[in-house]
This record gives sequence, structure tokens and C-alpha cells, in this order.
Amino acid sequence: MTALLALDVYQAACLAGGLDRAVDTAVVALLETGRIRAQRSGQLSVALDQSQHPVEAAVLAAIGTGGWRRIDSVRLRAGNDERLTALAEDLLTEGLLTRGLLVRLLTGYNRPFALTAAGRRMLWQLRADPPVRGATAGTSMVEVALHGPSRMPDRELRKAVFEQTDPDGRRAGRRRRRAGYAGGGATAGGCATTGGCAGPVGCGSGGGCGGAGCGGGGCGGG
Amino acid sequence: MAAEMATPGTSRALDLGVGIGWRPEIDLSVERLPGVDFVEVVAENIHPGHVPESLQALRGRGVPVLPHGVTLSLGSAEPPDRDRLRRLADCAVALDAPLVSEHIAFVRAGGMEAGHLLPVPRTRDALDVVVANVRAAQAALPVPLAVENVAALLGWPEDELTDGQFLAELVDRTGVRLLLDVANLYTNRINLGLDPLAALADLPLEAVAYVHVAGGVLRDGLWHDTHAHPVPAAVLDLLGALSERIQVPGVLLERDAAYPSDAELAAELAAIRRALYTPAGSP
Repeated sequence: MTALLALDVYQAACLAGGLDRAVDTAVVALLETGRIRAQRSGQLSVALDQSQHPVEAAVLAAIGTGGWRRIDSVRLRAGNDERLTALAEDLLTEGLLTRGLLVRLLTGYNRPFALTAAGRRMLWQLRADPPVRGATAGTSMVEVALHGPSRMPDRELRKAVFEQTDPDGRRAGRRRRRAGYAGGGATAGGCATTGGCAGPVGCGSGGGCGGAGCGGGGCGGG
Repeated sequence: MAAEMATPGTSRALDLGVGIGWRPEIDLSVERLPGVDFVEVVAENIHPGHVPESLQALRGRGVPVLPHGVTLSLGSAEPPDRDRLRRLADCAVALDAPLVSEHIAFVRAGGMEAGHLLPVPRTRDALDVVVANVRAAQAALPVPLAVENVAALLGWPEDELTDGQFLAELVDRTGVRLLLDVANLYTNRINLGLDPLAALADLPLEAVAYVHVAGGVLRDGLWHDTHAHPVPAAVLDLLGALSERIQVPGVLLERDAAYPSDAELAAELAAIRRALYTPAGSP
């Protein structure tokens, strides 16, 4: 088995935490460079539709320009995108991931992929010598790729996007997910809140009320 | 810049600085943008008992939050609705606002909602109605009221007064403050051929509490004040022209849709600040 000579940051993210981690890494890079924005409620939207990597393009497409999506919804949508699934395929081809049932049973059953021994060694090496290819300077995406969104230093944005609590006050996103796997102790962590705007901004704002209505089209008031 | 609390009836100028319309879609952005001295919130979009966390955070930092009403319909023949007034007053109290604002427009008539801010005919009769409505609103509000000029997509054939005369008399009779929308002056210039500098000369500028600027787009020869496009240089020039006439107490950028990046919003705020403090004609 020959591993890729050098994994890029998104392949490394996929190795460390599955496709969800790759999506989270792109979200962090896009947030930290101002290309997407987050509301306090965790809703994400595109501010500047410019990507520097196919994974970023897939995540921007998953967020979309027509509305607002939370991280769990973005993970679900982007996770089916070929630009994401290609990451896992690359790692499978390189023998860093396996679909083998036995390994999956040993490392975390019911996952589509599991790390191979070579994958574990590669991840260990990556954590010792983090990948820079594909990474945007000045962002925390490499740390997030290898260790998860808890390494995003901007506490305010991290809390809004990745640490939303559900109405029971329980941190969302603890359940393991389809696209993740038990890799090197990494969790597929993050936020899995669902449903509508349960956040503090429950004022029925946006669309129908004065904000948009006032400034819209030929109203000319505001 | 901090705003001082003004008491009803006083005309003491606030020093608001440069601000931006707070919208839930950009709540964190507004909190984090550099150069935001104050914000405005559409009063109908919040519940006084449940002020959004973001606005609470801004208030906690001492950033003034001004409730901006859109449905009082001060131009309607009937007096402003008591419940709407009470709600606006409650918003002012909940936000500890130094003033509130509304439009000189009618949004409903005879029980029909127009869904738009329609301009009031500039007649003596209409002026009497607006004066009565503004007085009623002032009596119900705990803080001073500022009223905003709306853009006219058409003029009324029976207009007897200019905008400036109408507003000057309104100010004179009620002591109301003005929220001057320079983007609306620009809209009137493109759509009705009204000279904005003549309008400025005509307006009771001493009553200006703060100013709105916004972007729009030209389509088929008409200017649409969309609040969803960048602020054109011509609107900033008008702001500059205004700042040569008075010390502008505050300027607020209205952006309601198609939100650009934080960097672009910050650049628009910086451009507003430059327009305020750079005399027109300077490089």
C-alpha cells in the first residue's frame, strides 16, 4: 500500500473525521475568510460565492444562495456531492480507508468506511506534520481538519455554528452520522440541530416582515 | 460615539455617528463590524418582551438601538392605531432607545393594507392630518419621534406644497424630528426630476435627527431603492452636500437583502464616514 505522497487538507479532514469533517473544514475556511456568514441561530448563508477548492465549491452550493442552512443540513447536502465523496474514494484507493466489514466491526460498526492500519499511521503522521496543501493561510482549517471544529479559535462563530444546543439544552450533533466513521478517536462531532429557527431570533423576521418588505422593490420608503 | 438620552420635547441633538440597520440575517455581522456606532431595528420585527440576544449584546456594549416603525401610517386619515403605538413605545423602552422613527406615509386606508409606504399628498388638508397624527404619536411615545421622508414614485396632481415646505411646517407645528433619507432624494431626482440640492435647501435641516442612506438599482430609467445594492456615489455625494450644510448627527446604512460580505459592508460604512467628513470637491 502506498499512501498518497501528500494529502491535501480536505483529504486529511476526511481521513480524520469523515466527510462531515471535510465539510466542517470548508465551512470554517469560508467563515474565516468572510465568504459565508453565520447568524447567532447557526444559520449559514453565502456572502461571496468564490471557492478555492472543489470541496469549498460543493459546500457553497450546499448552503445555496436562496436561503439559510445550518451546519447539519449543509453536511447532509454536501455529503452526497461528488466533490466530497471523491475524497473518500481517493482514500479508499490509497488503502487508507476500507469498506471491509471486519475492520468496520472492530473500529466502529455501522459506518460506511473505517481507517486501515495504514490510515491510522497516516493520520498520526499528519497530526505530527500537518498538511498545508489546499489550506488557506490565516485560517484555522488545518487544525479543524485534523482535530475538529472545537479547534476553531473564534469562539463566537464556533458557538453559533457548531455548538448550538437543542431545545432540551443538550448539545446537538453527538450522534454519529452516515458519512463519518470511527477514525483515530476522531468524532464526527458538531451540530446536528434540525428544524426551524428555534434560536433567540424568533421574531418572525426576515422575509415577510418589515425588513424585507420595507426595503423591497419599488417601495422606496425605508 | 455615545448617544445621550433625550427627553420628549427637547430638540437636543444626538451624536449617533455611523450605523447600520440591524437585521436578524446579519445579526452577528452587525455585532462584529468595525465602525458601527448605532443600529436601527424594524420595530415590527421584534417583540418588546423578547429582545433578540444580538440586540441585547449591542445594548450591553452601549450601542444605541433605534426602533424604526413601518406600519404606523402617519399619513392615514384616521389616527395612528393605539396598539401599534403602544408596541412602538414598548420597543423604545425595552431597547432604552434615545428616539424612535416612522415614515410620513400611509400604508393603509379604509381598512386596506397597501403593503407599501405611499407618499402623502402635499396639501394643506393632508398636512393638518399628519400634524394631528404626529401629535398623537408623540403623546404616546416616551422618547422623541423622528419622521422620514419617503420616495415618491409619482407626484400627486393636487400638491400645494413642496416636500420642504410640508416638512418645515410639520416640524414647526409639532416639534417632530426628521429622519432624512438622502437615497429617497436621489430616487426623486431620477424618477421625478426633482433637484435634491434644491430639496436640501428647502428642508428644515435643523430638525434632522439622523439620515438614511441605501443602495438601489436603475431599471428602465427608474431608480429602485432596493436596499439590496451598493450605495451609489451620487447618494454619498448628497450626504457630503448635507454635511456641508449641517453637522449631521447620525447616518444609517439600510441594507435589507442580498447581503454582501462583512468586508463590503464595512467598506460601505467607511465610505459613509468619509463622505461625512470630506468636503465635496476634495480629492
